[in-house]
Amino acid sequence: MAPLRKLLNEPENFVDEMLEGLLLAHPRLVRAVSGEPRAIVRADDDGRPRVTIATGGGSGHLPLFVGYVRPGFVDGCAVGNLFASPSAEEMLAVTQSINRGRGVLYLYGNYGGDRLNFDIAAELALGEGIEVTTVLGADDVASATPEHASRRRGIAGIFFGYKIAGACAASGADLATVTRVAQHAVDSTRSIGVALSGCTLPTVGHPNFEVPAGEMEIGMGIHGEPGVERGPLRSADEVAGNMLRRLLDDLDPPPGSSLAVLVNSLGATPAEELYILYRRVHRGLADAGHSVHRAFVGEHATSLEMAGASVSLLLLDDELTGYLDAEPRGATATVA
Amino acid sequence: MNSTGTISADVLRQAMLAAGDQVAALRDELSALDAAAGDGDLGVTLATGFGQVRLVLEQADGSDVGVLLSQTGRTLMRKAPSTFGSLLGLAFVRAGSAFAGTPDLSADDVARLLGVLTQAVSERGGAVPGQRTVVDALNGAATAAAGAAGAGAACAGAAGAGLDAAEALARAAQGAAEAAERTAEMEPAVGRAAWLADRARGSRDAGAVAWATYLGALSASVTAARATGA
Repeated sequence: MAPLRKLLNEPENFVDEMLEGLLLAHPRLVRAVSGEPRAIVRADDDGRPRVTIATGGGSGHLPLFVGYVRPGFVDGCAVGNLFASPSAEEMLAVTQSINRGRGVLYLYGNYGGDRLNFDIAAELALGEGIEVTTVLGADDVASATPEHASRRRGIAGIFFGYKIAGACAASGADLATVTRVAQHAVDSTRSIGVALSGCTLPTVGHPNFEVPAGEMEIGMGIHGEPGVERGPLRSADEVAGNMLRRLLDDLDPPPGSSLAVLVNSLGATPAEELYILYRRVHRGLADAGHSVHRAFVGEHATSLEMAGASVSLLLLDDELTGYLDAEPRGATATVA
Repeated sequence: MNSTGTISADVLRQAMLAAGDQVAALRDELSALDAAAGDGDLGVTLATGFGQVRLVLEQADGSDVGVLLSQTGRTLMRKAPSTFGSLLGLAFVRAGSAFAGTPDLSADDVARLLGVLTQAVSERGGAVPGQRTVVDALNGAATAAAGAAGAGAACAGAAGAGLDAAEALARAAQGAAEAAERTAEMEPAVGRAAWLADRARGSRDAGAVAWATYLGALSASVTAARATGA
C-alpha cells in the first residue's frame, strides 16, 4: 500500500479522533449527547420551546454535516462512519436531546442508508411522543433526470436548506411551517459538481475512484458516484459555463430572477480557483438576465481531499430571501 | 412443566442467546454468500451485532418477552450497521412493542410475532416475497407458523389445548429453511444483488440463510428445553 499523504493515527480511529478534536476545539458550540459519542448537539442551547432541526450523514464531508450544528443552522447531527450512514439509534439520541416540545425536522441528504435509518429513528421518536417530519436535500442535477428529481442525491446545496430552515425555526414558526419552508428551499436549489480527482479513505488505503490527471468528471457524487460527462479537463470558464448551463436548464428561473449562489470546494481545490469559477458563474447569470443576491464561496461540503468543486443555485423569493438574510449573516459554516 | 404449551420468556432468552451465537458462528459462510451478490460483509456485521446482543441479553430481565425482543432490536440497529441490521433491528423493536409485558408465547403468539417481523422488514425495506431477500425466509416462517397454529386450533376445538408453541416454532424454522433454499433459484429484484443479478443466481441469499439459521437454532434450543421439562 502506497504511503498516504494524510495526517492521522490509526485509520480505524479516524472518525472518533476527528470528533474528539472537534468537541475539544469548540466546546461552547457543540457537545456529544451523554453516552452517545456520535450524537452531536448544540452546547449553547437556551432550552426555549421551539421546533428544532436534526441532520446526519457519513463522515468525510466536513463541514457537512456536523459543522452546521451552530446557531442559525441546525440543532443536532448524527455522525456516521466515513461515507456511511449513522445508525437509527444515534439519530434517535439526537432527536431526544434536541426535542423542545414543538416537533423535530430531519433535514439531510437523499441517500438510501440515511433514509432507512432516519425513517426508523422517526418511527421510534414518534413512539416516544416526538413528532418528526423529514425534508431531503436532492439538489444534484447530475444524479437523476428531472422526471425522477426525487431520486437525486443531496450535495452542497443543502447549505441553503440549513440556513433557511434554521432561521425559520429560530423565528418561532411551527413544525408545519418550518417543514414547508425547508421543502421550498430544497425544491428551489440545483447543484452540480466536477471532480478532478478521487479521494482515499484511510481505512481502505487506495483511492475509491480515479480521475486521471488532465481529465475531469462532471456530475461525480461526493462518494465517488459516477457522473454524467468525463473528458479532458477544460478551462475554468468552460467548466463553469458547462455547469451553469446544466443548472439553468434544470432550474429554469423566470426572467430577471434573484438567485443565491454557492461555489463549493470538494476539499483539495483552493479558494482561488473557486473565485475564478465564480467569476464566470456571475457573468453567466448576468448575461442570462438574472441577479445574484448573495454569493457563498468556500468549503461547504467536501469529500475528504477530492479535487473539484460544485456550484449551487437557489432561486429566491421574498420568503426565502428573508430567511437567508436573517441573523446570523455569517456565510461560512466552518465551525469556529 | 409447561402444561399450556407456551414458551416462557426465560426459555426464549436462552434460545435467543443460542440463536445469536449460531449466526455469529456462521460468519464466514454468510460473508461468502453475501460476497456473491453484495459487498460481502454480512457475516462480519451480524457476528459483531449478535456478539453485542449476547452481552445485552445476558443482563436483560428474563421475565418479559417484549424486553428481550426490544433490546435485541435496539442492539442490532446500533451494532450491526447495515441495511440488514437496521431492518432486522427495527423488526425486533416493533415485535418488542407488540409483546411488551408478555411473560410467555403461545403458538398463536409465535405466529403473530413472526408476522410482525415479516411486515416490518418488508414495509421498511421495500421487498416482498419472491425477490430473493430475507423477506422470503421471514415470510416462509410466518406462513408455516400461522398455518400450524391455525391447524392446531382447529384440531383442539372444544379441548382448547391448541398447538404447543414449541411445535409452531419448529414448523416456522422449517418454513424459513425451505424458503432460504429456494432463494437460490430466484432472480434478485432489489438491493445490491439486483445489479449483480448474474452473479447472484444459483446461490442462496445470505440474509435469508441468516434468518433461517437464527430461527433453526432458536427452535432447537426451545425443543431441547421442552425435553428437560421447561
